[in-house]
Amino acid sequence: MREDKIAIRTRGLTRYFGQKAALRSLTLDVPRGQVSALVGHNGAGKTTLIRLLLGLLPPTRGCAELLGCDSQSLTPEVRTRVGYLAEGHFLWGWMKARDAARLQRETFPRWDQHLFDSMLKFFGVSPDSRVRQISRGQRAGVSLAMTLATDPELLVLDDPSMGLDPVARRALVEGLLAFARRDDRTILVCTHLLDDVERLADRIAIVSSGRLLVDSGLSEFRDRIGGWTLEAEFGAQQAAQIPGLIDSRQTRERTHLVVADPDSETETAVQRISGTARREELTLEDAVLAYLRPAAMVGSISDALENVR
Amino acid sequence: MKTIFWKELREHARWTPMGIIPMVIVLVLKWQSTELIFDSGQYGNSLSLTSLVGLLAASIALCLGFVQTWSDQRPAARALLLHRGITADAAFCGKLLAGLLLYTVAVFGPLLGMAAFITSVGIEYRAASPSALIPSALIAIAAFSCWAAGLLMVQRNAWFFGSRLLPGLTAALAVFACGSLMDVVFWLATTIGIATLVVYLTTARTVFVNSGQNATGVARAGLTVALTVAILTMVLSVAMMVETYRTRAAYARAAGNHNQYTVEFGPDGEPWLTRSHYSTTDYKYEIDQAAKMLPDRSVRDQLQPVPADWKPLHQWSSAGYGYGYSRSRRFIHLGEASVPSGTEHVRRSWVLDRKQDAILVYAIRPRAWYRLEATLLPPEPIGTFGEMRNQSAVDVNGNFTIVTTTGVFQVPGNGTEVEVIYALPEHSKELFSEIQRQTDPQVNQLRLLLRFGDRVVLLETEHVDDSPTMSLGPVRGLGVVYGSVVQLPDALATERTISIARDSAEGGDFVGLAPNWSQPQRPSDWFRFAADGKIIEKKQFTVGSTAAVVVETGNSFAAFVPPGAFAIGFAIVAIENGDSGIEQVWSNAKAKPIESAIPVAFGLIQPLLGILVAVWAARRRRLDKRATRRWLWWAFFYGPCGSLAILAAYPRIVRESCDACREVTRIDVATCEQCGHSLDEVPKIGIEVFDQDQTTATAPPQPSAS
Repeated sequence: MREDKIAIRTRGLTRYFGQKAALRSLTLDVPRGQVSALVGHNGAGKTTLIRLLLGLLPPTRGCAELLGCDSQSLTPEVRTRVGYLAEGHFLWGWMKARDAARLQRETFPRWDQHLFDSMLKFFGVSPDSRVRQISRGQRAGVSLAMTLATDPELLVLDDPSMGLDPVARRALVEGLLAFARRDDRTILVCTHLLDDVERLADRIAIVSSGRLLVDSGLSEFRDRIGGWTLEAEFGAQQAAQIPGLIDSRQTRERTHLVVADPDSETETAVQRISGTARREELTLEDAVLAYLRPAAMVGSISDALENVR
Repeated sequence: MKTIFWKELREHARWTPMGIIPMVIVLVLKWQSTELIFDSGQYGNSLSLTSLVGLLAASIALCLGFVQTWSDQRPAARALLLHRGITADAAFCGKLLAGLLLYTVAVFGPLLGMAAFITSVGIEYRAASPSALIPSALIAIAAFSCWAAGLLMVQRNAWFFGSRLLPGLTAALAVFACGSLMDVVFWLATTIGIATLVVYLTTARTVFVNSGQNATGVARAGLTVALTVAILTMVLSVAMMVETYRTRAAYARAAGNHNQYTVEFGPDGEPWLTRSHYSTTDYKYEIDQAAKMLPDRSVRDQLQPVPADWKPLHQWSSAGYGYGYSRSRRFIHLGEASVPSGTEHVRRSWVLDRKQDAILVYAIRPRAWYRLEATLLPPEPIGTFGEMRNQSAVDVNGNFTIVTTTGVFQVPGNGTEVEVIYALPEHSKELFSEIQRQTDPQVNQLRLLLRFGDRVVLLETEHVDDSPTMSLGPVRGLGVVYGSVVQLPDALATERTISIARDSAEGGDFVGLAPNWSQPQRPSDWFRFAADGKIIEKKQFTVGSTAAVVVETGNSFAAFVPPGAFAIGFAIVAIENGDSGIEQVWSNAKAKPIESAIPVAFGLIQPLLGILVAVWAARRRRLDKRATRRWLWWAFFYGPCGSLAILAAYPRIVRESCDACREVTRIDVATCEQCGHSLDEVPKIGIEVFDQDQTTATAPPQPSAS
């Protein structure tokens, strides 16, 4: 991949909060002109990564670049080329929608008032509506309008679907797709909604406990994850025999295995445990969830549900 | 910047009334409760106007700094604020300007309103001038540093009960110091105010721009000063409280029954050490023992009882310069009395208006309503009162005497003209004087020593009171019964504190004494001299202790003052009082060598302790040798309190064990300190999926369910 084709680049990016590592040696490239989805469970380090990328938080170690500029010294000019939608669609409650537009217009030279007005109309928000008086979904709409109307080269979205109804969510995804098609725009979207990822993203990055586990094209990722179903006892001893095992999940008498980069060696190892084991077609959701499931938590929830039954 | 300015203004303008209302209340209450003179000074135990405004302005600034920053603490809010086509500096400036404007409206608005009110009312109801608000306005400017302190406290990453709140303490202390010093040492108050404002704004800007990190030298320097002052103040406050408690307890034990030792002119004009016993029944001193002073030796052990009729010569004393009247104030309160007027008594108050060069006479009505009754102008041919130097107390008829650089004046209680008692020559601008009242209750005389250059005017006025007390009964009259201009011997002329007496009633010589009460160990000079300054006889002796109540006041407080703070204090004394200040400090130290040496010795331990603490803190923060060396200097001057600032100025170093060697290493560097292993090389767990990369199956995760 050529250097100038990278919109976001991190090298060994590490951030500690006290003794706790929120991000560990994260090395990631987000190519220009593509939509990359950043996926991870709550507290995985996604928002920390975005704050580091935008220079809102200094790293403990490592570095990050945004559009070729060091993230800790982003110039105002670079910032105007980057749109950022913060988690929770934060807006100052005292503001009217038109005040929000004014705030952006004065500091983003490529401000698109027409787009902003259209989006407000779509979300049914009057320019004179005060932010604290509109619904959560409408606030999300204003927030999105404020971000998209800056006409950014790089769009960084932190959970943009939060608070949106299905219609608005669909509109958002379509809007982002249309946006991405214009002039090689880059989008880094952080989301928990895997449907949106499937519809929207070219690439996927999975962060778990501050570590980057996946950074790949979406189809390549699907291809490189395999699944088996077997009807046999499966414990730590058996797990140690399967290289690349991501997750094993017990449902009644069956065990579902998810494995990274399965090959003939994997096949042999699985068959050795259970001769009746058979390959299973995995959806993107299955594959991603395998990475995200914190073992202890899921185990305890299953146990709890089992006890209730 | 403009965008953030408007945003901040609109967001926080709603808080402005919460600043305006208390300011207005304070100014109105102060006006109503003021006793005639409305100025920046302090009366009784109430807080001065300057201190009150300073306190309130500091609170307003601190709250404004808090509310302007607190909402930005949410990451999303900070992102929305800063992620735009402006620099973080510009955002800070926008916040600063908005804060300044809101603060100006809240604090200076009411002050300007008050100034307009005073101008419109004039001096009819209070001795007031809008200029009385100038010190308050100046302190309010300095108090804006609390805005930066508020921002700093919210923004800085630190523990709230650690060093996070300390910058606010220092800013408040600085404002308090400004308010206290404004009328006393103006240059020092101004310096503290400006320095605090500059240091805090600079530090707050740096911390804001760097996402709450004090990562730059400027921020570290600012924090170091702020934290050192705060920690030092806390330590010294505790030491002072302990010391005060100890001293009070000792004083309470000693005050009941004690003796006072003074040097007086005996009946022969020679210096005598006298012992006066304090009577707790009639609350006065009576000389009961005396001994003639001898050269170079103490006569404390030779004191002998004296007969009841043994009386020292009446003496004129000059115990100070009499410069206690601030030159910056327009009004000087001269006194207040209930004056007989016909069959009734009228309550009046007198005020010298320096600007008008006149004495304002106010009638006081019930419920403390004042009304200007008369304006007394300086009598001809003098034409001016000059600078106020001293005054006598107001007697029951409202008569009193004032001493100014142009003469001695009698101000009448009921009359309309000021009388001249003595007109001074023109070259008396450097006059200082002391009014001595004879303590004999049967005779109430004023004794004035007016001194200019190497000459003194000795005045004794008849001021006879028929009643046995000084404050009651009618006064028969007032006039000069003795007046003499005396040339001082050269050696006496240079002394600041002198006592003079006439060794015989008619035409005798003069005797003069230059004792130094504050430095008893210093040799004192005694002269017998003629009116033309010719020395007839001269002696030297040591005065000895003159303390009225001998209290063992330890100087342990001084042991907590580090050399740097001592040097600053010494420099201030030196600048303010010149050589005499230094000389006094030095003489005090010489006078009590042992008492002074102990705290100095302890004070010298401070650099040592400071260096030890600095080395420990620098190692904890892993400072390099160069930085450590710089801190050692700071530790030398400011002791352990200064060294502790290292812990706040540098972030805590987090360590964890290296994946390769399992030794503990810091996490903010690229490689392990122990083995050089790259910390960015995180061991793979075998499930990573990266482009153009193959999964290395090493350690598969444990199954989630068995």
